[in-house]
Amino acid sequence: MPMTSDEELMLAVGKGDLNAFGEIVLRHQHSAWNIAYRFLGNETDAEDVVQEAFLKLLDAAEQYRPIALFRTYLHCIVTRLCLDWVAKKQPIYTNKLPEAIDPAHTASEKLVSVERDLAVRKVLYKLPPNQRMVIVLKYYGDLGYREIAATMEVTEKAVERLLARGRASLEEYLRNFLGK
Amino acid sequence: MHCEQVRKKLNAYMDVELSEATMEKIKIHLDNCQDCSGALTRLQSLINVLEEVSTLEVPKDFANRVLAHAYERSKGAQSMQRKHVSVYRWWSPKLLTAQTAAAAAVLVIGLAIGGVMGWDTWHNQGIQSVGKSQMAQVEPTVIYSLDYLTDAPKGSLADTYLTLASATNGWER
Repeated sequence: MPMTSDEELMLAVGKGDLNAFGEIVLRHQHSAWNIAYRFLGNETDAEDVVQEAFLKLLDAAEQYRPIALFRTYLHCIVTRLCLDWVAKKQPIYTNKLPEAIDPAHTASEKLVSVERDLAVRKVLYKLPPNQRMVIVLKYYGDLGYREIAATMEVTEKAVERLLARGRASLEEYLRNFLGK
Repeated sequence: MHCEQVRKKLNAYMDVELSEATMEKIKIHLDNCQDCSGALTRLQSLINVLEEVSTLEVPKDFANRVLAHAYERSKGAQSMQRKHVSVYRWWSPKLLTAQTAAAAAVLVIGLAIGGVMGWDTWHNQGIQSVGKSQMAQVEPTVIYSLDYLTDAPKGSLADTYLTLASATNGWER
């Protein structure tokens, strides 16, 4: 039996089907969470934003029309909420890191990996919000230029420029880790 | 293609976001330019670092928390809808007509009762005014039940009181 598409699920949510909404949350919580956490830098803010994004989705479900990919639609909501969030509030950076997930790594490899993760997170917050969001969507949301452009409501050319500037800054900040 | 042109497109080249023809031109340039291919290598190692960053796990029960909020919101929306419906029902055209008719009936009944009461009051006022004119012909001492003092001997206390009351109120004796 073919899996129900996101768009079909959303239309069901629009008719008041909360089970369909639950399925949407389960399918997309991981990508929404990764974007928000990478961008905002702490779990509490990320949880608030992602939860708000899903609830906004629920509120707007009745008006939803499948004219674009659902994923883009959701990412657009998450992105806007994240950008609004940092516009209102300076992100609180925490040193809390996720567990190292590969048990095959040696202790020194783990240390390097933890150090690198920390460094990447730190330098990401040094970038202006738009550049940071483009990097996050590209590497942690796994989106192409077209999707990023649709999500951020900018042109593909603007995405290319923001990515180039963001990468140039990151290259400068992460010089010590490049080539390790 | 010149180095400057290639450097501008290096990011898009690495992301494979260019047309096939442009990709080919850049590839030819990179094969022949150490500086530009060095820039591409540095860019690639940056991407590796970014992509190697460990995946973040969604907190346990996150989906359940979202769903709990969704159910709460949905309940709230339903009760709001019910309120809306009840308000709508109150103001529905059919009921509005019935309400208007009831209000008009109450108004008519009120006016009728008011009219009857008004007529009665006016009528009583007529009676009272007739009474007043009749009373004007009666001695004030009779009205105030002081007529029993009129037979009091001259110079008595009762006669003095009656004389004083008559002078004060302008009664004729």
